[in-house]
Amino acid sequence: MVRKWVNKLLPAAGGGVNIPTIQKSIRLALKGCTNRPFFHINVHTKTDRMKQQPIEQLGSYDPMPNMFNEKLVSINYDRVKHWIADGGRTSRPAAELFGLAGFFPVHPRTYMTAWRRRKSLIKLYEQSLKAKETQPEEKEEKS
Amino acid sequence: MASLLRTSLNPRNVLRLGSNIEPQFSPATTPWTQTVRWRRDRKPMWLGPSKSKRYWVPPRPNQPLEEKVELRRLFTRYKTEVSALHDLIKENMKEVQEKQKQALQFQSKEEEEAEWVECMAINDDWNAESAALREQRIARELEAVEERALQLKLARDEEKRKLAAELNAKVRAEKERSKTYITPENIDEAIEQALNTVVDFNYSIDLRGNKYIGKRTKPESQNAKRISDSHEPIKREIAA
Repeated sequence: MVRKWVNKLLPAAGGGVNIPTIQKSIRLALKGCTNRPFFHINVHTKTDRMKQQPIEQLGSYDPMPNMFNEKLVSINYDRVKHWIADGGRTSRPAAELFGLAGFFPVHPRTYMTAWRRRKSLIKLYEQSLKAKETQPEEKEEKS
Repeated sequence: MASLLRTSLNPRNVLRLGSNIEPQFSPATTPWTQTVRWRRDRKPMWLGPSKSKRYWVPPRPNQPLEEKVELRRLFTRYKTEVSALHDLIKENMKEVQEKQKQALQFQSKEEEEAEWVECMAINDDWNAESAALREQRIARELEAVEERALQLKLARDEEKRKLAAELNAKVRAEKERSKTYITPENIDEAIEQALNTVVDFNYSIDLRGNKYIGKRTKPESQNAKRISDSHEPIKREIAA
């Protein structure tokens, strides 16, 4: 059962068992509570579940914009380098974050989401233009 | 509402705690059972799709070919870049580790020995300093102990002297009193004296305040004595 890891109180900042033969992965672990997501950037063994104790915490990511409209990220680059040199793989969301931070090249998915959003915005804009064009005609008909 | 009730009473949705009994009663009334949301399953596989969804085909994701090509191009480039970056990081870390190792190693054995001798000299100096301090401290402590012992001795002597004086005083007083003791030698005299001198502490008073000493003395006798001689208020009363 997944639930057995939930009720254990372990330090979230690390201390998990590092078995050298198993591959490590650098990934985001969801923390926070209902309607308030928060992520830790952690090093886990590849087979670990999200709620299991990480080997080490490398940073944090707050996806909710603060009062200055910023999403805050903290990354310990020295330790990230150490774990990459140790053979650790970065997960997709973590790699995207590193790309935005300038540590990795920018992830293709970042480009993809950007152009898709741009596309949808253009679509909305065109729709609004069309609506403006049609409105005065209706008024004329009524009068 | 009825469907909700049915799902909540469904034994599959009930977590049995510490009991092997099938929850044939309502889970609200039976002990050791608890309705939990996370245990709720979907519909069983063998029921198949519902009648309304039988011929419904969900829309497939429609990715334009341009996007597909572009993403492939981006991903291949990204993967090569990242793998190169990983190699670079590994090499850098190797260099760093080597530098760390070198920093920990001594250059030669002679230098190491020289440093050892130097360290030992410094250590001896420190030991001498601390030894001097220690001796001073011990001397100070010894002095304090001696002083305290002396004070204690003086206090005890004073106490002893006081006790002796007290006892002496008691003994002297007892000796004084022993002159009037009744001993086997003078017991007959004492008995005779006691028999000869009869003391009567009884007395009576009349309305005028006259005091008659003795149990059987009569008012006419000369033994009568006016109590008012020594008692002011009664005297005043009598005058009135």
